[in-house]
Amino acid sequence: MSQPQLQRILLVDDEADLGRIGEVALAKIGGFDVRVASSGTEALEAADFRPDLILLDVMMPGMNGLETLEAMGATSGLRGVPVVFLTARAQQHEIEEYLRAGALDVITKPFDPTSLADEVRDLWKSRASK
Amino acid sequence: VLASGAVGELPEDANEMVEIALRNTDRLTHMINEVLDIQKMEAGNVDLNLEWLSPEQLIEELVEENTAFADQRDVTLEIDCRTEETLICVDPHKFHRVLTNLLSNAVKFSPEGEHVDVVAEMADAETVRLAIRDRGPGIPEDFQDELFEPFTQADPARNRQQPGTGLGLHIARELTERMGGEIGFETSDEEGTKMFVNLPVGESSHHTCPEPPDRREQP
Repeated sequence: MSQPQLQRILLVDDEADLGRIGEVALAKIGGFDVRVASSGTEALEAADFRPDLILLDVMMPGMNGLETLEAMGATSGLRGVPVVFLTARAQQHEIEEYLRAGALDVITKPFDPTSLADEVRDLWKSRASK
Repeated sequence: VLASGAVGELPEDANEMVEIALRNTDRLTHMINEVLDIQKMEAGNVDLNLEWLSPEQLIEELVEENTAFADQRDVTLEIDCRTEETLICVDPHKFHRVLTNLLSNAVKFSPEGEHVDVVAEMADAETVRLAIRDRGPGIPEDFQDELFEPFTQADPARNRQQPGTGLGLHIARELTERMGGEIGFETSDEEGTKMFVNLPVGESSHHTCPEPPDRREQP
């Protein structure tokens, strides 16, 4: 069976500059359809976007990334969508915590905008092959 | 040069990326300078150029310089000066930096539409107190002991909305103490936070002031 194609990415980050850079990197370089949410709450409201993949910041005011991930599990349109944490908090014990919580993987900040799209595409492929 | 358009107009997205790069370069430069300042202070390389100054003039200049920043956040700055003719002996540049740090924190953590009081008063007969009071959420109790420690911020997630290095208050305390003063705060969720600097009216034991001007009695 062929793998579903990665098209729509929901990027969740409260830092406006990073959200914008990520959006440009994924849309202009990667050719993805990207929506940016600046908080966990906003991310839950973006269920209508029907993302194929979610890139999720961890340290955010209000709902943090882990809380957002949990809430996504109860949100139609987001439930079951693979989540990759995008975070500077990526010590080994933290990565293990994210994976235990159900994340597909972790991309550490600072990320290279020119390779972000490739990195995301590789994660998508590796997921499909698992 | 790129952002200014001097070498030709950039496409909108490219211009935005340049502006993001500039903004974050400024933040990084600011952070590096603060780290270097701390290194200098720890090595004892802080020269003080002391002058006798009027607290009233100090806070008026402070408010004038920060009004645009406060306006952006819809915060009003209000001056209340009750020190009359009293003068304090400080390094103008370094003391201004201390007060700017306290005031910018107060503005950043103020709810929109609120006001920040900038007060100069006599804490007692021998001490001038410069205080800056906001109506923000107060400093969390479990963070109060660490407030002046370097690289600390109360809530990293929240502070990303209020960018900072976690060094400003540490530098403010170090500079204040080198000028013979002390820095402190009062805070509660209901009342907001009052940060203050106490400075002796007379010549402090920490440094030698120049001769005071005629308008002031000899200390």
